[in-house]
Amino acid sequence: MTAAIPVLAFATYDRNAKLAGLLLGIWGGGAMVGSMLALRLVRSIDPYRLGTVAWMLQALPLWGILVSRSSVVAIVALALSGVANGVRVPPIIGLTTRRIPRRIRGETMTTASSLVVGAGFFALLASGPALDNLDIVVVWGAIAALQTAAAAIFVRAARQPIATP
Amino acid sequence: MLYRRPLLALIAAELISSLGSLMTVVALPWFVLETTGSPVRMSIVLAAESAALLLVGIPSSRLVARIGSRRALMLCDAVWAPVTVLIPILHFAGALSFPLLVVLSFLAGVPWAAHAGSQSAVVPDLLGEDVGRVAQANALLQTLSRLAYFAGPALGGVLLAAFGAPTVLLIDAASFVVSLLLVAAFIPATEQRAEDAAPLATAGGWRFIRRDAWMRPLTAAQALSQAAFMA
Repeated sequence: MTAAIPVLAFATYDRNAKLAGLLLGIWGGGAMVGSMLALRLVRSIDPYRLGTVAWMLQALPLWGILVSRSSVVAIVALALSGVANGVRVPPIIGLTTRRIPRRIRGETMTTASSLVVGAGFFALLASGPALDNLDIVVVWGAIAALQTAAAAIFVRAARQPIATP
Repeated sequence: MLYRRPLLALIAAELISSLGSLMTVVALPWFVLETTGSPVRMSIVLAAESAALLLVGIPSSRLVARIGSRRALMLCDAVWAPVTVLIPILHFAGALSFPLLVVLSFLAGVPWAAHAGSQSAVVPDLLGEDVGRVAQANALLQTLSRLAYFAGPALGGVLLAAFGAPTVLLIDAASFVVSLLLVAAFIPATEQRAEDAAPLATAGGWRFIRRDAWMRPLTAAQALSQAAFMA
C-alpha cells in the first residue's frame, strides 16, 4: 500500500497528488482511531474474536478499490481498513505476549519483529519493478490478496484449540 | 491500570523517542541531500539502516535473551543516542565522510528489532499476564505511536526549516537519552532472563516460532500483512 497508493492516485485518479496524500493519511488516521477504540474493546470482547473480525475488516475493504474507480470509495475503503488495523493489533500483541513463555518472550518477539519487518522490506523492494511492469489494478489485487491471506491464516489459527506450550 | 508509574514511564519513553526518530525520518534524508546533493547517496544511507535490521535482527534476539527486555531497551537507547549525535558532531567538525555516514546509518538500524521485541515483551512484566490489560496497554502504546507517526515528521519539518537538519538530529539523540533515563529510573528489573531458565530458553525465539502451533501461523500472517502494507 505504501508504494502502491501514490501510483494508484497517479494512474487511476488523474495524477491527483492531494488525493495520494489523503489516501495515505486517511489510513494512518483510521489506524489511530482504531487504536483508541481498541482501548475500550479489548476489555469487553474476547481478544481472539476481536482480532479475527478486525483482521477481516482490514482486508475486505481493499477489494472495494478494485470494484469501483470512485475516489470516494477509495477514501472510505482505506479509512475502514486503517480503523480495523488499529483495532486488531493490540489484542493480537496481548495474545502473543501471553502465549510466549516469559523467559524467552523478549527473544521471541525480537525474532518475530525481524521476520515481519523483513517481509515488508522485501515487499517494498519487489513493489518497484511490479508497479513499473504491471497494471496498478494487478498490483492492488495482489496487495488485497496478501492481506486477505493473512486474515485467513489468522482466522484458521484462532479457530483451533491450541494447547499451552 | 494506566496510572501505574512504570507503564506511564514506558509510554512516555516510547512517545519521546518515537517523536525524535520520526523527526529524523525527515531530517536524515534532507541532511544527506543537503550535504551530498545526491538522491542515490540518500537512498544508500536509508538502505544501510534497513540492511542492519535484516542482518542483525534475528541474531539480536539472542542478546535480548541474555540481558532481558528492560536492559535491552536501555542498551538500544544507549546505542542510538551516540550514533545519532555523532552525525551532526562529525559534520560540524568537518570529519563526516560519506562512507562514515553509511556506517552510522547502519549502526542506527542495528537496535531496531531488539527494541520492538523488547518493548512488546516488557509490558506483561509490568502488568501481569492478563490478556485484556496487556492488550489495553498495547492499544495505548499503539495510539501514541501512531500519533508520533503523524506529529513527528510534521514537527521535524518545522524544526528542519527553522534550525537545520543537524539540530533535529541532536534533538533526536537527546530523546534517546531521555528514554533511557525513564526506563532506567521507573521500570523495575523484574524479568527472568534466559540464562536462568533451561530448557525452553535454549530453544530460542526462532525455534519457538517454528514449532509453536500459534506463533507459526501468526508470524506468517503478520509477515504477509506487513508485505501488503509496504508494497
